Amino acid sequence: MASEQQGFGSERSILHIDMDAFFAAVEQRDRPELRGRPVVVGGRPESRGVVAAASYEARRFGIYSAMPSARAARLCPSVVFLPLRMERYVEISARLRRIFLCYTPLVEPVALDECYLDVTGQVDSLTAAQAVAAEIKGRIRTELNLTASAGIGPSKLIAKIASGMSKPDGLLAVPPKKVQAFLDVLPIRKLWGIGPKTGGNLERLGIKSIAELRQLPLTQLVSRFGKYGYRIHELAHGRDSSPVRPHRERKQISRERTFPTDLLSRELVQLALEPLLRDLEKKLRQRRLQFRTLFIKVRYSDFTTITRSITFQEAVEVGSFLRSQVMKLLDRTEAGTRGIRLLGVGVTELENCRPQLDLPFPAT
Amino acid sequence: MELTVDRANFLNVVSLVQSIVDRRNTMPALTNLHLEAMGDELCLRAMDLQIAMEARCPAKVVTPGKTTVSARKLFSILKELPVLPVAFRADQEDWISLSCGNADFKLAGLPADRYPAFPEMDYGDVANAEGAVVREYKPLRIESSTLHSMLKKTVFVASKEEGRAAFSGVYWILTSGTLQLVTTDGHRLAHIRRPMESLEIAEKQTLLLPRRAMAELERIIDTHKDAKSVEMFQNGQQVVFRLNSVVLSCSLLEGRFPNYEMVIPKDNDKSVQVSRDALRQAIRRTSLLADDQFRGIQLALLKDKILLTCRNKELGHAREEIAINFQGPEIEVVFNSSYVLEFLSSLEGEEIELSFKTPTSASLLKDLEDDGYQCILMPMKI
Repeated sequence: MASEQQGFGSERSILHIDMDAFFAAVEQRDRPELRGRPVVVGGRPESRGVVAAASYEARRFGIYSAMPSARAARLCPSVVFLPLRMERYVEISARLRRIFLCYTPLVEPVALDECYLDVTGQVDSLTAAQAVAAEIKGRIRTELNLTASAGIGPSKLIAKIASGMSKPDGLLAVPPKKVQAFLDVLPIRKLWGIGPKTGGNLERLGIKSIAELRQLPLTQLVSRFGKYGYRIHELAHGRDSSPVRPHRERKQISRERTFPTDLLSRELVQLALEPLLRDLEKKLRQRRLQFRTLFIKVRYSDFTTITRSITFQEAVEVGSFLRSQVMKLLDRTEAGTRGIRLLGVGVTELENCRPQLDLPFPAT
Repeated sequence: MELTVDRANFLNVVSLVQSIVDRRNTMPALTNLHLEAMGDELCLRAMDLQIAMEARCPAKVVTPGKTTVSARKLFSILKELPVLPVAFRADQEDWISLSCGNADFKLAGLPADRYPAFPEMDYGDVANAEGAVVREYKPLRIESSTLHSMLKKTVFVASKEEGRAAFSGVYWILTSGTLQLVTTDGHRLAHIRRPMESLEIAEKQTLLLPRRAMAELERIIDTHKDAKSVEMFQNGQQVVFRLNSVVLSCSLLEGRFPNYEMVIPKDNDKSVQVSRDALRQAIRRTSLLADDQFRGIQLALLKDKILLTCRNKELGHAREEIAINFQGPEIEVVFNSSYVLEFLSSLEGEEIELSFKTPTSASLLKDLEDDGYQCILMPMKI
């Protein structure tokens, strides 16, 4: 069968749809005068904010996400800086999702601009999967006036790498039989979880391509990276069985903020934490969640970033004690003696609140 | 340091103080017991960062001295030793030799000066250099068997989670002739009031003390049934209890106890009397099908009966009726069955009274004959 030859057979068909320069593209879509111009969404260049998204015109100047806005302004003085309009992006993202759900119920949002779709069973060949992806791209273009890149493969790993390689506005499908050849020529950092640290470690060993990584004996990977070594080994062989989870459970809730000037005193740090805490509490109450682990994140003025956390024996609900625990965590930082540029607070190991009612103690 | 001590006496005191030893091991030195031989006694001490305990036993002291040794090891060795005198010796390097019958142990100890300073637990009058008394030792006296039963009926309610001081402590209200204890974990509350003739106090005093220390106090009283009263005195942030030769010290918890009187229901208008044992048995059976996490069961007060039901989506359902004398109005409430069972075990009377107002307000459980002990419980959402 022709479809069997180049199709998926018993393999899964996963699509990864990734919007091109999403925030910037939404701005350009909403304001036609910005089209064709370098646009950056994020912090103002005179502030200490960073680039949240850069249009392809801006990228030509070497501007990329997470770069300090001030540097982006130096690279391209004519770039237009725009503030983030989160509600708008959330709105467009919801419309995208409605399109995806026409094709499969198995849609896993990764971010506002990024999604996995499992179309296994909906299509019977690679060509059919490509047709679905092309149709989705077409609808995004005509209904939303935006462009997306699509990757297709037998796993989330391959779909994601493929969409990244087809950017912008592209479509790349990797048949199961070609997975190894596809991966082998790529640099190791294309794999999930291989960042500067692991990547640097491997590169010092002379391992640059996934083909070279694949030839490393498993024992060597495990002795060097522990349990994580198995995962690297699996990924290098293109083996990734992680499912597309339609209701991705939120694993943590956190709030953080970068400050326009460094916080130098403990009092200022406490003041600055207050609105973050209030926001976090509100969210937890709304979602009726309790947590087991509480953490804070502190980035000092030299960009060293630390986190401190506390885990309780039982899940706890938000309440006044949240503050006292955060203060205790703060005691374990250098707040007050070192300048702080970013503060974050969050909770993980979330559980639904018990339906048990509380005694109505009067507020003190 | 060298002494001989009766194995049973030694084991008793070690068993008592070793439970204080910090299991979380925040300071390695605190996993040890502090032993001091003086006069004709061996004095043992253990502490963690919140509680300290001291106990003594008679010993034939050959050479006085101090040392420290692993609490867990010493305890497990003593448990296995034959019922014979134990010879205990610590050398200059804190190597400890322990012999009993034909068994010999050599244990690596730590010097006593490496042990953190103990909180002030001295009792007796404090005198100045001239011998004049500058602080008179005037402890409060609390009748020990009454205190024991009061602790037993309250401590279990306090939360084991130490994040919220008020919910992890036992709140003491001392007035002349009366002692009250209150505990709550935010969902339920226990309040007990008992006459205490021995208690003489000028003005009302309140203290919030750690749950763990109170559980230890309960245990100490339990092992010293001969003692009539517990002495209690406050020294700044420390509260010290003394029973015979055992001393327990704990620090006051920071934080205010909530206004508990506000949550004790006063106008619960639907009340029934029921056999405590019949209700307990029925709840134990019905709750076998309760959800592991929430333990919810439904209690319906219907004409002439209590109907207990438990529906579990995965397992099925259970129901049981208890005949009572009740004319209404009817009400249905959902409870955490574990909470109700704990209260039913801590009540003592044959007949108890249950009272309710609405399915989302606090209910009250008490012994029919005992107005001094109240168990308050919030229901679950239906």
